[in-house]
Amino acid sequence: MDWSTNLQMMTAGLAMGSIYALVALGFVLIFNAVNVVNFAQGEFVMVPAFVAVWLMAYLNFSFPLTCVITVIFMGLFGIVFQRIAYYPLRHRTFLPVIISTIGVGIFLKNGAQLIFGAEPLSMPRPTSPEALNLFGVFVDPQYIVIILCTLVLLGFQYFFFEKTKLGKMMQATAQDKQMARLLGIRVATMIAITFAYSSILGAAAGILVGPIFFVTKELGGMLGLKAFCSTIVGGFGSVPGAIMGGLFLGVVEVFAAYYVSSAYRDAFAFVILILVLLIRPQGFFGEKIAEKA
Amino acid sequence: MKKSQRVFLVIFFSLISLTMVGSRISMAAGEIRIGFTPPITSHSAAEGALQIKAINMALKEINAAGGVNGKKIDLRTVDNQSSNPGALAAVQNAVEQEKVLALIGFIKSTQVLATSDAIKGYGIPTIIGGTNATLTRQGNPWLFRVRPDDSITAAALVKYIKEDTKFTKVGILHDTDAFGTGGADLVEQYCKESGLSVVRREKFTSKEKDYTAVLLSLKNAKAEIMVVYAPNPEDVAVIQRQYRQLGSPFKYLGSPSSQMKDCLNLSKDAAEGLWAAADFVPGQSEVNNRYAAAYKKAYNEDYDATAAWTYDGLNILVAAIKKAGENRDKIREAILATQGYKGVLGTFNFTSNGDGLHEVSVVQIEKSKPKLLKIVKVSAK
Repeated sequence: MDWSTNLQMMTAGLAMGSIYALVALGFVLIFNAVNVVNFAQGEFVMVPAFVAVWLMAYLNFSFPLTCVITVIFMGLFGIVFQRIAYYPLRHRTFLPVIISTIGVGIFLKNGAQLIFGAEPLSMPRPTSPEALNLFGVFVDPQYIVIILCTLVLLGFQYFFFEKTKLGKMMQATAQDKQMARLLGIRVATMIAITFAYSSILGAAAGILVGPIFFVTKELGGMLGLKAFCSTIVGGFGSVPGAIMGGLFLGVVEVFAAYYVSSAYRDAFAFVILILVLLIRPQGFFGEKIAEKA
Repeated sequence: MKKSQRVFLVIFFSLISLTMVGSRISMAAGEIRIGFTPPITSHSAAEGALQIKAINMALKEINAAGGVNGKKIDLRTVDNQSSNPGALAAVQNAVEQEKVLALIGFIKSTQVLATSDAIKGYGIPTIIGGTNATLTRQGNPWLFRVRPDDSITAAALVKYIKEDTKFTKVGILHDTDAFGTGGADLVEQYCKESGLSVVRREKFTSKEKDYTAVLLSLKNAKAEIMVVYAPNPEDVAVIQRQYRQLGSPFKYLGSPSSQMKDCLNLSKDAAEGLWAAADFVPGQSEVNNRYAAAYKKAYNEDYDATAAWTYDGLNILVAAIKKAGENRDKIREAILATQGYKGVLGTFNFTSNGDGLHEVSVVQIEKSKPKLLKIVKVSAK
């Protein structure tokens, strides 16, 4: 097989994988903070995509301004979401919270259809629609933007969690709420910030994929599922695991579609999920513990 | 019994008898009743509204021209509620309550299937718009289709490649749903029959977002032209964009979704110059232009391409009644004998199984609008 085909698929795979990784990170951060899987995570991508399309296509805002407003909006959205879907149920088991996130997800999807209609919308592209020709390899410039933005975000996240006081307080909360509270950390605030951050990651994913995917209410559905797979493959609860799992899944999908079968492209992610659960249930980067202590 | 009650009852019964007399009178005045069963409520209501607009165009023209043999057409519209049970109820209602002579039926293949037995049982001529190829091949002599069926689209695509291009290596990309798979199967079969080689067949599931792998696979299989068979305009728009970004490595020929407004609105420049099949192209004939102008005048908007079959359908039916009189068997024979009828959708030539349209337009996208390249006629199979 010629190298240009493989290189082309590698770029596409890494770009898809980057998006999975961003959404997967959102999953993991919330899971670590409150021990609950947020099944509305896919909608955390759909909502900002709609907001961005609306700002750009209907209010004619410039791209940078749209990004800023969308990110601020999603930060607030995350806090409100937390207040409605998690906070009232925080003393209950994880099950009611999961159901409540599913419920909010359904509400968001149908709300989006009600407001924006069922027809897919096209988000104006910040990059040229013409492909870049790199020595015979045709690459969508948006793919490169996606990969670069994801790298920058990951770098920022590392800095934020390891080097800033706020980041460390959030980490402490995720590790042990009781202990964090004893040390004087406002646990409820930290959890709210985690939700806000998680939905800002969604905003990044939404703005990045909007121009190549078209924006519909179903935008988040498959993305959310694939991202969930990524977190399990990478090791549930592990931050590097979510990133590597996402990239791995994105790349494997493209190559499997080419070399094995395009019809079952979506199935490969789930086959990998099942294999990982059978052979290495803790995932690539997971710790071998059955339950958090 | 109180006096007021008695007065009420008297008024009530006299009203009922009046309505009965009324309906007698309307019958006596010499009207021909035709049933029409569009979706008026539930999820297809928007489609139904457009069908009603289109059929009313035909109705007004026919009645303004004096109706049929001196009798006006009385169109009885019954809601099919956008569902299969609703469709069946609508047929029963139209035939048993409204006592219609013939029916303008459904565009949804599934509703045609759901009502096929009832229509056969009543023995009532029914015009349909559903395009599933098998509908008219299941031994029901009362269904008459006024749109090209799916097998005709596939055959026309292959015929176009064979006769109007020099390409011999065909790649197929299709959705895995019933429409995509069925269409791709036919394209592959017709390619083999006409000596074209299908070098690679790739599939995707609806709502797929990245087509890099499948497009590269077709490219590396040395396909010269790619046939895209898919129902959803938004999927096709993504394919068109990514096809462009890979440097358009082969020619592109799509099923009708590739030239629909929804698709072109999304793909924009990426669709320029691509080829696609279309049931018909606005402005392809004089009848078509006349209809477009009249529609615009009546409703102050452009006509809807997928609703125009009701216009042609009612015209064909009425022409048959004119020839045959009010006898269902004779109407059936007259519809089947319709040859060379020029309608909005094209030239109708009915075959013995009730298929009226055997031509598909191949178009090229220019400035986000389909432009006619050629009308491909397919011999009836």
